[in-house]
Amino acid sequence: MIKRLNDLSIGKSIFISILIFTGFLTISTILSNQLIFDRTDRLIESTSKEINKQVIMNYENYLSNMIGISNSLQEYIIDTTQANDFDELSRLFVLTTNIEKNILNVALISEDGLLVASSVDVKINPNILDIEWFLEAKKTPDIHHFSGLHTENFFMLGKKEVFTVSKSVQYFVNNVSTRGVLMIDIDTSNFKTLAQQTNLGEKGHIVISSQAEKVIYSSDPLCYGDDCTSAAILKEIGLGGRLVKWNNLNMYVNVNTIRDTRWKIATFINVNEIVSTKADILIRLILIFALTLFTTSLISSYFTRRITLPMNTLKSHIALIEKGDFESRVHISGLKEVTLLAEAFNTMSNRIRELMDKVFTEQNEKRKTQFIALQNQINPHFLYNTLDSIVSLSENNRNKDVENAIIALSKFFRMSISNEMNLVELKDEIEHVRNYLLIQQIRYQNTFVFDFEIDEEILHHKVIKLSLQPLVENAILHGIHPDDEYSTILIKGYAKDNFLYIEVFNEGYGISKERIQEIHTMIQSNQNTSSMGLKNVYQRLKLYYGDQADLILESELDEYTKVIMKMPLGMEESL
Amino acid sequence: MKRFIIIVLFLLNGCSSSIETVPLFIYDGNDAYIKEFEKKIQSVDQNDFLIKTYVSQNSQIIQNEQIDQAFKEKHPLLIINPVDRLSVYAIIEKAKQSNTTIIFFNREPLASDLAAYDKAFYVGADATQSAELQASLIMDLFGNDPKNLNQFDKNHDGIIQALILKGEQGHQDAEARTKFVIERLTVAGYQVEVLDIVIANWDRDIAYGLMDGLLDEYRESMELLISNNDAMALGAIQRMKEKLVFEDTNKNGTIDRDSEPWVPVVGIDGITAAIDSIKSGYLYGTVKNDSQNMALIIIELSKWLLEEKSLTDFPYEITNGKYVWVNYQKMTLDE
Repeated sequence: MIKRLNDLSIGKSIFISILIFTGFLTISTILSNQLIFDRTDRLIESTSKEINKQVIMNYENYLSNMIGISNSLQEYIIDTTQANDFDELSRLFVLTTNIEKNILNVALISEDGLLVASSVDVKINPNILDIEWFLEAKKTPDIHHFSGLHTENFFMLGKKEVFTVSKSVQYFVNNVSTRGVLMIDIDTSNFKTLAQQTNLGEKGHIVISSQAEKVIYSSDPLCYGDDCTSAAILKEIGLGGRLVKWNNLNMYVNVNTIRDTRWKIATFINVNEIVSTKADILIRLILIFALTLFTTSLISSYFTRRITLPMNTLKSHIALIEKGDFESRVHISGLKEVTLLAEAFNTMSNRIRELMDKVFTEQNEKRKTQFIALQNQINPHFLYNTLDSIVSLSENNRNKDVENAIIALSKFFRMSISNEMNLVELKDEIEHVRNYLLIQQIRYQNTFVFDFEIDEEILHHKVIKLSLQPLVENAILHGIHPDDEYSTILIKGYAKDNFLYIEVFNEGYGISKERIQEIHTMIQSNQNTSSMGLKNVYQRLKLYYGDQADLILESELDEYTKVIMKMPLGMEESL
Repeated sequence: MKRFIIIVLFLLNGCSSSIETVPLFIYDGNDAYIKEFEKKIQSVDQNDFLIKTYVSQNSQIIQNEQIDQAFKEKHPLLIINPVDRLSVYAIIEKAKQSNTTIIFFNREPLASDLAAYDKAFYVGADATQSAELQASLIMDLFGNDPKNLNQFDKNHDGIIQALILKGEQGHQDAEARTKFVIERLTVAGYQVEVLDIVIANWDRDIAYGLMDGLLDEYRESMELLISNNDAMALGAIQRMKEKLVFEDTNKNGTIDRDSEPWVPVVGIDGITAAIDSIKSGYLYGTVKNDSQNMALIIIELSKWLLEEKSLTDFPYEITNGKYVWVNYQKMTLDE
């Protein structure tokens, strides 16, 4: 998993980071909104339930007051009819209508539809036996029946709108118990104003329905009859509260029963503002989110491109280098870090090219040197002369010298031909030179002597192979004169100030200062010259050791010539 | 990690859903009888389900809210003591929609409402039966021979002069008890003269207060006091004790009905105070509304309904597939 993450490109990593960040932000915002919305919902619910309770209690109080009156009247009915005083009962009914202004008519009707007592002097409706409130009261005698809203109908030609409370009651005719129906007509105006006592919000309203789901009353003027929307909602909810859409308004609807009646009441409370505010907030939040996500993606992709584009240029440039092209340069503009990187990269490829050039030259020189050395050493004249000398030694019966000469020659060639390493220990180089000198001594018939003064401690230092021999060769060439006897060649080796010095000293005519200058200029130049030996050594010293190494000529006319090879110490490892 | 989640889920599951919760709704916490009843239901020894009680504070609106919440929680069974028996139809309609079983108790819904749903049941006592047993107590007192009443027919006219304390005008039980006690006696051949019916709203204090007026008028003629419940009977006795209609002349703490002043009073319910009053000789008798037995039956019925067992083998008689009537019991000093 982590490996997979590490493998991602910059662009993808940034995108994923943003995605994760936005995800967290989204989740936390959603959660906190959920909390707020939940609270709002609960607030809506509890507030509307409280309002609903208020409305219902208004109705319950109103109706239970009517039931209380009815119960009292029932007691009076028993009392007065037991006393056979029907006039007194009628007077009581009138009194009741006087005290309770909402009550328009009170009447006791026998089960077969005759008026027993009444608060108004009217003729009873001949169809009384078919009127719903009368039938219902007879059907379920132990409860009060509440009719729907209608015009007065226990007598003919009633005008006022009422609802009727009816109840089957016991009364006495000539001390014989019998049953009748007590009916109370109640004015609806008060009933209606009850709905307006509580603020249900704009277009908030109530609907009261009977058990048979007939609309008894609705405070919404548009809700007429049984098939209005509100009635359908009431029917659908049955009992309890819920948020509904009513004519495109959000309403919290509570459906409840009204105590002691068979009525249901639905309160429609307008919560549109709260709900639509909620929706508003939600839409805005979503918009803000979308916008944020869009901008951050845009910005991130911009930055990603600013980083990855130069990277890709760099990458293709590296591919060029892989193919060997060190000449081209990257030109990158963009972020500071990236341009710095590009500059560093250019410097690096410059340096690589320089190093490669150097290595190339070095290899070239080395090949040349080896070639020259080989050429010198397997010089047929050298071999001829040596062999001639050995022959003349043999003729003089100097057998011991012949033996020495042949051994020296053999060792000399072994060293020259062995082509193992570029560096050899100083003692090996010395040995090689000694053999060379021995051979030359024979050739030149002991016209010179030689000596070594090498410090013990430097014997094991490494030096460039075949670097000393050309100098010695030079010394023999220029320092031996057949007329002089016993000229001396001295080879000194010592360490001083972190430098290794090897001096080749010979007696002789010496070289003028001008000539030394000339030789120095010559060996430092690239031109081919006759004095290939010195030049070759000089070049190799510079290649191997750098500027610190040097080849110095010193001379005094008619006295001596000295060639000094100067090499820094402690560089063998790096070579 | 996965295993851990599974274990957590298992634990949560184990904690929450292994046992069913049955909501129990009582109409009011201030009614001593109902409170006692609720305790009896809660204390029935059973491990099949938990019962959670909701008190509706004598408000149908509150009860409707509580029941609506219970429907939302999708309980399979509700036990309801309704506040308003007329509102029950709305609850039944709602239960039908969610196929919830309901056991009503103590307040009997309208027969037509109950008949509308086959998963609605009622456990209760029949008000008519309480009146019948009350009548039977009265017959026992007067010697069980309508033609030849014993010494408690004080004026020896062969007619029982009775006063009635009625619970609440228009209340189903009050109407039934008042009507049937007289009817039973009449059917059995007794002649009863109802001196007066007074309404005391089931209340001890109201009955106590009403006794002054009644005694002024009927102290001499009254041979029997019939009360719709024990509370009113005890209120009446209290006042009559003060008015020396009852008198513990030998101060032994009890009334000897043969030698000391006494008037027969009968109640209904069998509350503890009434039983104490019987023991000390004041209250003649009462009809016990057996809430202990009702609680047992409600729990048993709940078990059967939750397990969806056929009710044909139910150990108690079920009338019309939905009523379990619990018998009242006569309680007097003799029984």
